[in-house]
Amino acid sequence: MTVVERWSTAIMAASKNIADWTWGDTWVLVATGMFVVFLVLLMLILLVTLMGRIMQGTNRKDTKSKPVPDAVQKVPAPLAQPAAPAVQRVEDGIEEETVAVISAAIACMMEEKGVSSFRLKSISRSKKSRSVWGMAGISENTRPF
Amino acid sequence: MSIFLDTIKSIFTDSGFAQLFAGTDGIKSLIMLAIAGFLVWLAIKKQFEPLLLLSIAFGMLLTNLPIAGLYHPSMFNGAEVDYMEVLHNGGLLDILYLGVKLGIYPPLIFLGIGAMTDFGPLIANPKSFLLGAAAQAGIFFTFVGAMALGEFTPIQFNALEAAGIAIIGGADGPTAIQVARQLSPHLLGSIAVAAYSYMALVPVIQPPIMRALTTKKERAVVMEQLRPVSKTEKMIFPVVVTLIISLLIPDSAPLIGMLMLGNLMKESGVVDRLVKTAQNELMNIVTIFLGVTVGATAQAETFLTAQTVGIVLLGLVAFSIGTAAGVLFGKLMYIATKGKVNPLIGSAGVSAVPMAARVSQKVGQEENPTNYLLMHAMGPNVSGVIGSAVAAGVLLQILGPYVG
Repeated sequence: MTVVERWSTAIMAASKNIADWTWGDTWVLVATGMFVVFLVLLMLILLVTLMGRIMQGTNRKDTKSKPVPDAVQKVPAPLAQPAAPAVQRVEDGIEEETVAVISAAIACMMEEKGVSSFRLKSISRSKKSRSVWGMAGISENTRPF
Repeated sequence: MSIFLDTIKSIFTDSGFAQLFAGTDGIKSLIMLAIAGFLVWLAIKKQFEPLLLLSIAFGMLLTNLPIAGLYHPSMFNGAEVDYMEVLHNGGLLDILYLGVKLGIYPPLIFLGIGAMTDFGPLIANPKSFLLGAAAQAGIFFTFVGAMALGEFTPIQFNALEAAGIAIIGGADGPTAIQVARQLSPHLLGSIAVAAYSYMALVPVIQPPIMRALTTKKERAVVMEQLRPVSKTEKMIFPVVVTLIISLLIPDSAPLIGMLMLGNLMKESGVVDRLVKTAQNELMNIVTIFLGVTVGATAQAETFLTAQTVGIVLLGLVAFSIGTAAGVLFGKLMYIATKGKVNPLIGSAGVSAVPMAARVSQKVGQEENPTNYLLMHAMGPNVSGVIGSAVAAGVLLQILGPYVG
């Protein structure tokens, strides 16, 4: 028997004519419904939390541990580690600020993938004709919802 | 010559125009056509969920055209549907309605919704599941309300009808249609119109309830940044959820299964064409068919009744209680986490995605303009979709044996 059937034996045992539905049946339905919804979602919470712990555990194993100076505050785990050596090849005309912004953005993306140490090798302009803002605008407008 | 005049006369006397003014049935059809026109206006001018309401409203118009015979409720309202009869003698909407009767359209819409949903905020903060569960209280209290209405008013609902009405509180069109088509198909038209109208009214219904149940201090809570969720987690999630829920509540399987299939397709990143189709063309096609045929069930006999008034009132009750339950549970979590959870995100457990989440954001910003609650509210919002599908499964499992 499924969970629901077990908890609603009162209803299941009764005859199946809707005219026989009583107020008692109503309250059993409400109780069963709320209970099952909470139970199922609680199970999902446990599973998702477990899944999250496992994933973070496997990610932590790949990271090389770096010695942290005592004076520095304890930094929360998700914070990305900065790319230690400078970017090797930067195309002429790209400002240092832009390099910093790009590095930060890439660090953020890498963090989502669970990669915490990487090195930027080069930054150069792309040859596309359409501006990035234009592309962003188009993808925003064509996104469903 | 007289033959010519007779023919002209018969065109008018045999036409639908004559039927409209023939008797009370005709007047009722006229009223339904007027209501359909009003709903079309609501959809276009006031932009009330136009994607669905426009088709529903026009389906209502088509079905109330006398003699045109696009839809025959008699073919579907009996215990058993004679499919050969439908295929041989059915009108256009009868045949398209088979997609609703056979339970094809709502799961396909969920496929598209899954392909558009990001479960990241929910995975990052699994406690949001509880808020999605709490808001489903709207469904069950509305059930009690629908049963109780018969005690105080002449409006009577039996348990099957009450369940179909109660699921409006799930704030989820396809879920409501999935339950109503099995348990109370004769009320499907009214239920669908009520469900989609109230979903459009979420920004109006929710804020007063949210403000009444929370303090300024609670509303101003700024929540912690969500942890980043890896792609792998986002791919495991749909599989795990499908397995758990479908094994426990088999009646939820069509909806949850398709929701999670759409989501898995999106997260896997390897079936981009299919995802694009699911998000766009498939959603649009099914939405059109679903809207028109659900609207077609709203014929004068079933719509212009006291029961419809009851449904409209109970729909409001459903949304209000769902919002209140979500916010109150949010307050509980605020206390339990010592002020880390903003109770406002609880109202987003009413699964009108993403409207309810935006409402949480807006009300939160009234207190604290720098507060960005949207992503946090998306957690309960999408958990509400799952929660309402589970609740639907429970209703179907308990009341299914009573049908027919």
